Amino acid sequence: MRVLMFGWEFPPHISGGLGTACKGIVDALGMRGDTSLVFVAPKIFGDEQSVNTVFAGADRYAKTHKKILDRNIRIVLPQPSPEQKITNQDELVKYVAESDKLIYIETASYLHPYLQPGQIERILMRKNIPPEKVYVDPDGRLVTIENGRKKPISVSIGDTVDNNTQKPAKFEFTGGYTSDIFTETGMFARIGGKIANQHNFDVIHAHDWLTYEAGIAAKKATGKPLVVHVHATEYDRTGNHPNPQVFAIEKDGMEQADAVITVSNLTRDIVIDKYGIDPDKVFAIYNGVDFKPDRRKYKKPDGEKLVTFLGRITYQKGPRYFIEAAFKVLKQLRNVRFVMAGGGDMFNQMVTAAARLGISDRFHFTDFLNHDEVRHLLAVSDIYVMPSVQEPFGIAPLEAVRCNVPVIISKQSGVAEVLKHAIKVDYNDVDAIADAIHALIEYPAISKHIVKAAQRELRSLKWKESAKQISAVYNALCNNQNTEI
Amino acid sequence: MKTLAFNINIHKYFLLKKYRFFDIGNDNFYFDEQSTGSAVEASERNCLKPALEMLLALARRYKRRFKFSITISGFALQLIEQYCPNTLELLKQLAHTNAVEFVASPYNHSLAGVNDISEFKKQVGVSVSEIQRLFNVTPETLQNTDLIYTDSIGVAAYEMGFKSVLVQPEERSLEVKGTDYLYFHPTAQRLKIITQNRKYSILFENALKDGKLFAPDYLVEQLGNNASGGDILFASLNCEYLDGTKYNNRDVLLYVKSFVENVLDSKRFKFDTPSSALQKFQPIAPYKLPDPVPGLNYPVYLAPWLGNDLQREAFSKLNALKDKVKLGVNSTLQQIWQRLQCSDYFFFMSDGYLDGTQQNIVTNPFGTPYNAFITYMNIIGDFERRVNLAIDNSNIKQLSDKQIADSIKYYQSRIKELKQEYSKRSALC
Repeated sequence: MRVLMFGWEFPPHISGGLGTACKGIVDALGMRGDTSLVFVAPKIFGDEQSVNTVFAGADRYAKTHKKILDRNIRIVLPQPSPEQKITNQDELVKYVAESDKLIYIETASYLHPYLQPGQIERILMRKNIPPEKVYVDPDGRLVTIENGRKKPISVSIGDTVDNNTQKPAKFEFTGGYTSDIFTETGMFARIGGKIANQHNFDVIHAHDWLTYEAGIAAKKATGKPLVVHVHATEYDRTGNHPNPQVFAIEKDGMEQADAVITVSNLTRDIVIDKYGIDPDKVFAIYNGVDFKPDRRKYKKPDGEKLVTFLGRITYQKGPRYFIEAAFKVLKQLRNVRFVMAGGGDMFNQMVTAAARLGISDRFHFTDFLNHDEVRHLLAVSDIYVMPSVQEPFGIAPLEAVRCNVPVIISKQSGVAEVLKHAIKVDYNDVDAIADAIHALIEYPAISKHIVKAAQRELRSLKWKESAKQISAVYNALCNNQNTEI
Repeated sequence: MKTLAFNINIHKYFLLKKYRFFDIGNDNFYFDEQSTGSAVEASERNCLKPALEMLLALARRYKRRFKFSITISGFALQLIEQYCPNTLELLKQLAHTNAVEFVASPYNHSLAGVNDISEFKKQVGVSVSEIQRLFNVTPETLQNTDLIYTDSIGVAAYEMGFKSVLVQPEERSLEVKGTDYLYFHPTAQRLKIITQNRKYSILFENALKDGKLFAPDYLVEQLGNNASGGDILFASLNCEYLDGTKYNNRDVLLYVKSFVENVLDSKRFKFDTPSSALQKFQPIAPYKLPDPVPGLNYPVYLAPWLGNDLQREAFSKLNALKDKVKLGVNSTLQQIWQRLQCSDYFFFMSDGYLDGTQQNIVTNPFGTPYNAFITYMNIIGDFERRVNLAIDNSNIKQLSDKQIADSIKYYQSRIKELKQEYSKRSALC
């Protein structure tokens, strides 16, 4: 089975579930041995320096990084064997076409999975940064070079919030934007069609809406079946206020797709109910978890417990319920600290809220954390809370479990379908969240039991299993196509 | 002809409120009396009343041929007396027919038999006197909470004058002959032990639950297939299974009725009560099941109540309060203490509710075992606070000699504990 996949960069470049999920799926499909992949990811190239940026996830496949098909596309190849000499572009294309291992292609693009329409331009404009001076540093941050020194740019959605008014994260849907992100997805689609013509494959697989158009273009160019993978819908991202243009692209992608994969039954229901997709072609396939815990021992103040919220600080993640619960717990217990790790459009609002409640001495903010910092944080955490208002899946709580941290998750999350041994609450039931935090601190038996039992459960949540089911979807599509012909 | 000893279990418990940790110190009420009442009334409407009416009709129609036993917990009696006068009347009429034997059990449906035999005896005693008061009969048979049994429970039963005990058999204790035989206690040899045919009991429940097995004669056929060579087949059924509204309003009662009539027609089985049956057969072997060793993990047969860390932690917290409560707190605290011992709260902390292995028909009112544990521990936390307060406030002059002796005993053990803790800490330093 040969797959053309439109996905997203792997960690550590991109924080968040989408890059992690793409990596998990690609690795596990590769391990199966019956699947070869051409993986196409949009990437913000920036200037020449960034070309030297080694793509860490590809290190497993490639020691040499052969480039460049044209100015906008870069291929990261697996190590060619000594007898395969590649000296010119024609040979390169041939090698790529014949290679049965993973081929990783990056295309120049400003697409970013957590961006909303028009955002990146607005961010750059407001900061007076010319887009051509922007690139990604090895930690996955957007940076610009100023006077020869690197300077990070925050790409959190928070930049769209007016810092003076502290208005919450309702996105600005004026209908006035016509270009930017949609131009980018259109360009990515053209590149997608072009790449499709250069490769042999049996099935196309596209991850989330920004790549759907590319998937459709590839399908039109080659007639191969298309799978779209829904990691989140516009409804999840916007708190049920979808942008009509984004919605239209999503709906079009799902309708043109021969199969739709969703990350949970929760998301499957949204795809069926809100997008009107035929239930027979929608399959829920759960994510896996592949996380290396930080096993180092860190010193902590005596007897103090650390309660962690980790994720983008946006409406969707429900940060305010975490703060309110913290307030209730801190009224009774003093041997506990809370940390809210992540950046986002509600960051300032949350800092203010903590201050107003008078708990800032025990409630801490870290802003954006990179992969190693996340591992460190989980290593010292005692409780993990995910009060998401709507969460298609939610890999992060599983990573916490992997680090022996008991988790409190909202019932409105896909992960609640697979993780039985967790305390499940309604996202806005602050009393229940506070009560659960208190119980995990004061009654050690429950922490011990959850960690032990959840760890056991985690063993069955492997990317290998997800890849098996994805592979079954591919096979069904290809067999169908053959019989139709 | 073999004897079929059929036992119906009736049990009700007090629902706990959603008790949060910030209620500790602020809210003295732990039980949701209103929900408890409406749950009991619903149970009467859908299950207790129609089922008992049918059983009463059968008992009257097939006089001396249709006999069975009822085990009713003290809490169930208390709640039925309070909320369901009609059901109580039916029970009284059943007692009059002589077709029914009332089996004694610990009043609180507690796990006291596991670790506190004197408390166990006390609770059984209360239950016996309640049955005497309401039905004017004296139970001769004992069944511990959910058929849990160990050797000490047998000794206690014998000392209290019971003739037999109904038990959930442990495979290893049955290796001689298997189920369906009459056994005796290894030391208190005049006490007979009747072991449940678990396989058939589960089959019976499944037949009621599962529409596919809901065929006439199925249960009678299976009765023949599952009986071993023994004399008494003892089957135990939770009354909740006789609630047709739980399975699309199937007429389970008609089904049970036809089962009873089929058995009466068959020449292979006859109905009897435990105490009447055991006069007709000789026990074949001693039934030994040593008590759980304190300090070690509880044995597997206690797993539904004390199988995981949550259950054991909650149970040990409850027991840690025992001595303090005995010091003589007021009657309100005594009553709460009695109610908190109910085994159901521990049952609802069982992992089976998450991995789907829990066979019981009772839905978990807490939703998940974790919620059950959190609520129970919060309540225990507040209860402990109130007990401590009551002890501190009690004037030593008003105490009886017994209470003073208990106090001295309690403080001695407390001093010992603290000394151990102290030496442990100084060893660490």
